[in-house]
Amino acid sequence: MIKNALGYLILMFFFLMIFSCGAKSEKTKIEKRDDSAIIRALNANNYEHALLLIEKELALDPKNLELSYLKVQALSEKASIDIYSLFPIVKMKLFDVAMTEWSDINKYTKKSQDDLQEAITEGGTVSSIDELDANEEKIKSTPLETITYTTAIEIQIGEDKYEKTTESYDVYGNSNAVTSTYFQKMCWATIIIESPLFFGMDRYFEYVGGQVDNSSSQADNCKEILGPQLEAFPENEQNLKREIKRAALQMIDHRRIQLDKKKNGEQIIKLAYALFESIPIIKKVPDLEDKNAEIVYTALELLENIRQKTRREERLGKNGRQQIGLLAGYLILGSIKESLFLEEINAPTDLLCQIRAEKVIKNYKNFLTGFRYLFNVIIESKISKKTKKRMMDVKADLDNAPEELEDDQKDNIHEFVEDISDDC
Amino acid sequence: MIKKIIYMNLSKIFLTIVSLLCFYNNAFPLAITHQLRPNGNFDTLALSNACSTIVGTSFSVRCNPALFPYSKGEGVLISASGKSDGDSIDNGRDLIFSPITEELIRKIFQQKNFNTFTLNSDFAFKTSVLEISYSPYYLLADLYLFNPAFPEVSLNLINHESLRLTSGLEVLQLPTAVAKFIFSAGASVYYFEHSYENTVFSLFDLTTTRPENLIKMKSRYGVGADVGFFLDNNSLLFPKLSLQIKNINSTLEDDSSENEAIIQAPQFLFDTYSTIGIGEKFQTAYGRFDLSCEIPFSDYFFLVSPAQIMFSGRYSIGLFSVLGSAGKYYQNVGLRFDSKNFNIGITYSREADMGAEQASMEQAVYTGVDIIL
Repeated sequence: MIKNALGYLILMFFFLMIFSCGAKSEKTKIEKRDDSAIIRALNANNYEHALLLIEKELALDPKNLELSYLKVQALSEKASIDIYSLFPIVKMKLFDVAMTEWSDINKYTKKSQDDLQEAITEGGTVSSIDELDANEEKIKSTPLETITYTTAIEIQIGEDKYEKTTESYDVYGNSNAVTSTYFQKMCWATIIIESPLFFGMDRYFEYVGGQVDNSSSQADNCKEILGPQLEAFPENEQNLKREIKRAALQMIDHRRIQLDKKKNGEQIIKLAYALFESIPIIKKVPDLEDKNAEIVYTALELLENIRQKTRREERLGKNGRQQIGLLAGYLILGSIKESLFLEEINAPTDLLCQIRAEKVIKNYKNFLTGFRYLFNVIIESKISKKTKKRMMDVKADLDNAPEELEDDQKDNIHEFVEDISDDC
Repeated sequence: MIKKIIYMNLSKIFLTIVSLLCFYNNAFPLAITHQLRPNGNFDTLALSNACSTIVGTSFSVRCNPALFPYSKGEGVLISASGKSDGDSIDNGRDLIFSPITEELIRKIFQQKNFNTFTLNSDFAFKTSVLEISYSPYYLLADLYLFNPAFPEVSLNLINHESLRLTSGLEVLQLPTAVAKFIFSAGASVYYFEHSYENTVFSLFDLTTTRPENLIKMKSRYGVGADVGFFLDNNSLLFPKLSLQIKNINSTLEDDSSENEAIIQAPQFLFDTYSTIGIGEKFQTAYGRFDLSCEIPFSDYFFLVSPAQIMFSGRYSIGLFSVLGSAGKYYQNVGLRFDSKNFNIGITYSREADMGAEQASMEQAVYTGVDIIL
């Protein structure tokens, strides 16, 4: 009985061992690709081994997005774009500056930027685009009979200079031209018309006038000539009101053009200021070598493929978009670094004076590629419809831009830089 | 009859032994193991949980519920243990309190890219019939940094709270000509509340997203059980044997659908696993020696990972004990001092919780205290 019990125990002891031979885990049935060796190689900065492993796996599964993503990481390491080379920038932005200092710095730069902008661009109140649109609608919808206006008159007396050429012929048929100059007294009245329909933008002018008898007193003669004309003004009030309405709409158009110019001016100022503030970061961006740029292009292509095939909330989608921003930013900033004499820039106004034209031309493809990829990502991000539309317009221009600069375009860049340098 | 049974199963036994030799390479590239486990303390840690055959100590029941009959003491115990020093602590301190240098970043990515912190605490009330223990905090924080080209953090945060009921009994005694065999069995049943977040995010996410949006703790609740068996004997000719199944009915298996190369998968922690223990005790005039070997299996004795096989030893004399353990990824030496009202212990450990994936082994120090009321 004891032996039986012992045997039973031994049997029970191995029962579960035997059981293990029968059980199959669902998990082990699935063939798993082991990316850990690739990640280990990346962590050790052994990008060559990582690329070897990745290419081996890609040969079996060429459309695998995770492998494409890992390939981008290996290529980034190969191009020396990693946490080590970007550490000075990361340290500057994340690890060094305290929050209170950041807010103080931001307040100061905002004030200085506003002052500079005010100094260079027009002062005074400029209606926003929305206000102009609203006023335009009001003008269009105002009936003629409700338009009111006031007039003021300024009288000018002056002389106009004329030249008269007289041609005569002698008996032999030869011509003889004689030019004589004479002056004609004139007087005219400027009728200055103001109306609420102009919304304070400008005034409208009408003119009446005529020639004065040279022999008589100009002042008295002016009264005789202008008086009746001014009393009769306006000859047709409906026409005048129609002209007032037309002039008001023209003022709106003119003000829109002014506003665009001012906004462009503001943008250039902001851009110059942003570039100037970014110079400490630009200086720390790793140098952009040609071989690295080619690697970055390949990496960006792979990331763009990932971006198009993944949702933003997925890990690959989110990381891919962020890394596009990083690599595109590197292309752009690296190119800017090469295209400016950074050490000579001490103020935002120095920026335009320190451009290296030949480097701008050399880095044109980097600028174009970087901005194309960057705008693809920006347009997808959470921005207002208005901003998105403007971004898409810019993107369309970038997509249509030539892949390489023509000779005349290169010459234009050289000329532009030389012209600016003359004023520095 | 027995001979017939044995003969019939001989081929299967042979196959079983062969299957033990046919080890599997870890199918989960980021499999993480921990020495300090739920229901563990600094003793079980010093022994790397290879203690299921060590009887008559205050930690025996933690190792194997079948050892309950050998722990006769009654009382209340308050216990806490955790990592108090080591590379992870140093890295964490450097990252948070010191200027971050490129050397530190390089060290973290290339040498110390896995950092872990653990803490366990529990209150236990023990009688001769059962033990009730409540663990308010089993805290685990694992950080794995990878990919220097676009740095990402794989983060596993856990707080495992449990209420446990343990008991065991001697099932039968088998006196034979060569030895007296004692077979005991025990079980723990526990209710758990498991709060966790196992996620991956990039360094860019850290700069643009608030932490509460990056780390969203989830909770799971459930009931689990541990079952243990122990075959003791009074002869040096036969080793002591144990057999355990842990976390029966576990609902905390790794069910991540993400790429497993970057999502951490804790093993031998909350998932169902089983162990076979082999040990021996030597009582001498100069103290007691316990030697033990623990072989863990995934699921119900399914597959064994040779890297997780642990050997342990304990020497105790009076109130003083020296504990040690060794395996492929863990080597520990611990000291323990017992007194009437408290026990304290310190363990020096070389560990690689990530196994082969970890760039280098971590030096760590664990400390623990038991307060006996």
